[in-house]
Amino acid sequence: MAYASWVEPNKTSGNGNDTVSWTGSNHTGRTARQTTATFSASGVESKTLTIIQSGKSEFVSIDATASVAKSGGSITISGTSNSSKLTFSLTGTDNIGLTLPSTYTANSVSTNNGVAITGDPGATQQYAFSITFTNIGENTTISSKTAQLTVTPNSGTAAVCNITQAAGDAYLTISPTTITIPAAGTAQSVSVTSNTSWSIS
Amino acid sequence: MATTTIPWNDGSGGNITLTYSSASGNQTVTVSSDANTGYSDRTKVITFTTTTGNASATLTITQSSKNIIIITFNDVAMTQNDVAVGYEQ
Repeated sequence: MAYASWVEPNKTSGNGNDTVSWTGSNHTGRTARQTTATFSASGVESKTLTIIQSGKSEFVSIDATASVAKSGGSITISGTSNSSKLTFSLTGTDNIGLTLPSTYTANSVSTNNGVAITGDPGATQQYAFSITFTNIGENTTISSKTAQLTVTPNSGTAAVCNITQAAGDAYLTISPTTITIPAAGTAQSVSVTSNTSWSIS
Repeated sequence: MATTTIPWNDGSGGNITLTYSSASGNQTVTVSSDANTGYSDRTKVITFTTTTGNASATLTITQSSKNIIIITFNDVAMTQNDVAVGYEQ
């Protein structure tokens, strides 16, 4: 039987005593993979070599940062993992007011947050995932806002994405825009609506 | 409480006084004035500007003049040097 394509010997033929070196391609799945190679020579019984490549430690990585427009809208945050399950949570102080989606996409399949991923694609190789936040509100303040998304694998170390929403524009309106003061000077009121400090001149 | 005083600059020496609790965010500004002792309305336009400078609004302030009662006879007012003559209400 031919050996798997993920492994490559430094030679495929020889004569007499020799050493064959085997090199495997990068294996991103959690579980070990195995193949066999057959050594054959004329007049002797074939010998079989079993080759095992260890799995990669369970991991998750995610975009380190993500930016939301000051007008709001939606953002998609991406990453890779080989975990059987990913759990997303908003950690720290969420000034943006995000709503954590109940589903995300793992290996191109919609998956419920915190639920085992169908087919466990991470067992054999790492997969891509993404989570999309929608209906993010406009930033009406003049300060940027922040939130923190943490994704935790079934086991292993969690990864964090720091989300920043750009500062909104300063605004100022007054009402009414015209007033009449009696000759005696009696006070009138004007309402100022603003999201920042202002001055009068 | 903060106060901003803006002169009418109409030769009267009178001022407009704006009073508010803080020059930040949503506020109610109280606008008052010295009495208008003249016989004409006076108008001043003042500007509210954010400290960032990228938003502003203008307020037009008009102060009425003293009421003058003009006496007419057969719809003709008494005049002096072509100016109607009356007395303060």
